[in-house]
Amino acid sequence: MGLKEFLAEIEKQVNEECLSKSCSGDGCRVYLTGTPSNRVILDLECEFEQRKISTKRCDYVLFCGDASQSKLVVVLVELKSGTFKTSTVTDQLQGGADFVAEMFGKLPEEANAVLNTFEITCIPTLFHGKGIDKFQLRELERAKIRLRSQNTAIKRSKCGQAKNLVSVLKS
Amino acid sequence: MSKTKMPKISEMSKSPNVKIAVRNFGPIAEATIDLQSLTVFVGPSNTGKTYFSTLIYVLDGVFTGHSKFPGRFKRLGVHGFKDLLNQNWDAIRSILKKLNTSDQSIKFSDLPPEIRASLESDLKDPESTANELKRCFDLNSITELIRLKNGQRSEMNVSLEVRRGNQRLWNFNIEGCGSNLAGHGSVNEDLMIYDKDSLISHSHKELDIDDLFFWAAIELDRHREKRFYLPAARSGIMQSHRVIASSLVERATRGGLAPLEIPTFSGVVADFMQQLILYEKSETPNKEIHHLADALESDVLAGQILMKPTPSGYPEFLYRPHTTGEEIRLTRAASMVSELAPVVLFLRGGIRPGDTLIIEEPEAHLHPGAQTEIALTLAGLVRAGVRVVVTTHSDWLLKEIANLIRIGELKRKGVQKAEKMAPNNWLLPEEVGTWWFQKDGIVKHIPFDPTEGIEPTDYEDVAYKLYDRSVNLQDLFQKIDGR
Repeated sequence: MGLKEFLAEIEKQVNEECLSKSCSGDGCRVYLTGTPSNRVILDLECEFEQRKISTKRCDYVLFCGDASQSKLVVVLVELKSGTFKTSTVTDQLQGGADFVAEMFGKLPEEANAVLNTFEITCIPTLFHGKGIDKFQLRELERAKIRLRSQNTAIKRSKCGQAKNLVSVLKS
Repeated sequence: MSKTKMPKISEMSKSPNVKIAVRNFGPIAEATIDLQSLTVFVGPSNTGKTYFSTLIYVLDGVFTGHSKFPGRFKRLGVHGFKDLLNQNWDAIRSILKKLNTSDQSIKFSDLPPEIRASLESDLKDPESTANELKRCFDLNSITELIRLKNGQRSEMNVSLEVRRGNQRLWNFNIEGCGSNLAGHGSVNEDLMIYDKDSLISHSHKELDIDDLFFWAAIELDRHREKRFYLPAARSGIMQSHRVIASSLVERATRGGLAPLEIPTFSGVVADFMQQLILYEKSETPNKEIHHLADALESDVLAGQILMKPTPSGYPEFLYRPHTTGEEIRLTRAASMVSELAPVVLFLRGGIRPGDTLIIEEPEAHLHPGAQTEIALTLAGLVRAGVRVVVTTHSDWLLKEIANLIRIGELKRKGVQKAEKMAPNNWLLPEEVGTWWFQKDGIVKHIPFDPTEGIEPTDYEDVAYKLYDRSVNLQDLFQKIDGR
């Protein structure tokens, strides 16, 4: 099983109607241009609704990677076009990470074995509009999102800016 | 003279609106700026903030403030005005007759041509503006002021328009091409020169020439605004002005055996030094402005700024910290003290309502906490009726200015809690104009936003860049340490 098959397995683990072709919403456009075509986008609002989970969660999770290098990238996407509380964003992204961790834990044996061969990179990302100021950035800078024993700082990118997602993947 | 007529206070407190527009001026491609009670210039270095500030200072000096009448009228003084009236007595008599018979007011167009020409003379002659520009910018030729575009100097334009409400009071324009400067301007024909409604009449006495003199005295006194410029180099000048002054006096004789080339300062620096050298505390200080100086000393400087006369005649300024009570020279005091000492001195030295105070980078050498305190001083000056212009790179200062605007807005909405906050240091959105200067671009207005406050785009970009670098570096640590 390679990355392609692994991503197909991820698709099987979630509700089909929650698979999405885009990460945009909430007045915030996220451009997929330049991102790997082999990807899975999961609408977490839909997935949580289907699973009747009411805890905090981010807006989308994007799974993609580089098959040749056995890399799996998990992008946790939170969209905030207006004002927001930094603690809310952190909780939402962590909610998304917890969901992914739980899903990984329930993967079939073969997929789980493949997962363990991957180098996993978690990229929690806030896509924001003008409602963010430097003091919030300072707070955000201190926050970390934990996925499978990795603590990762929160990346940010601007809603509606060309290549806003790929710039995060390449950073 | 009829002593029963007094000007209405509301009329006196109204400050005209001033709009200054430039094209190809110094590094500025284009700018049209409405001066507000507090005008703030932000943007990267070398984009023209100081150029524009200096231009405001120049125009303020040439026209003796930006008020109802251009400079010439104010410079006439009461005696000059009396002479002008006497020289045109027949025309004045007919105007008085008209006023007393038809109860009409005098418009600018009603004045005799000689008086009109005299009042407009500054607006017709660009020479005084050219000289003041050269002095303040330390130029050999006006050409140096014209913006270089692709290695070529094109045409420079500067225009000044003074309005009250919807009515233009007067305007002035200069165009520079090469070393020539052409200027023109005019007073609005419909400008009300003498408005009977502006005087509260308690008698039905006929107006006579004394009434006109009385009115002129009020107008002339009311409009004798001064200008003050605190240059970015003020801290160094505070520490060295006595040495510089002594050295200049020593070399002030004509050249002897060796040719003597005397170096020059820009006019704004020279004026600042002169104000220090000739410094005297105001005998009739404005109470509100004086309080602002006290607050700066107690809340920021934690000590007093003192002036000590010296045998050389040039005053020495000292700092006395509250903690020790020891009088120390500014050269030994913290850089913040040299930075703020001139602000304190100017506040005590005669800044009055109606004056223009320009401060370059008031945040220089100050801790972020002190930078926010400066915002309170600026707001206090606005409340006292001083027109303030600042250039700044300080996000802290802008943040606190935005907070003071929020307080002002809440006060206006009658929110009780806001009444207790910053009782004399609030601002209103329409009192503050923030302008963003950019390289080779048009100077843009940054509107106040109740949520975002005042946020220049380039500050945001710097913050994002720093953030992105920080989180990427943190992730590298994570990868190395597995933290």
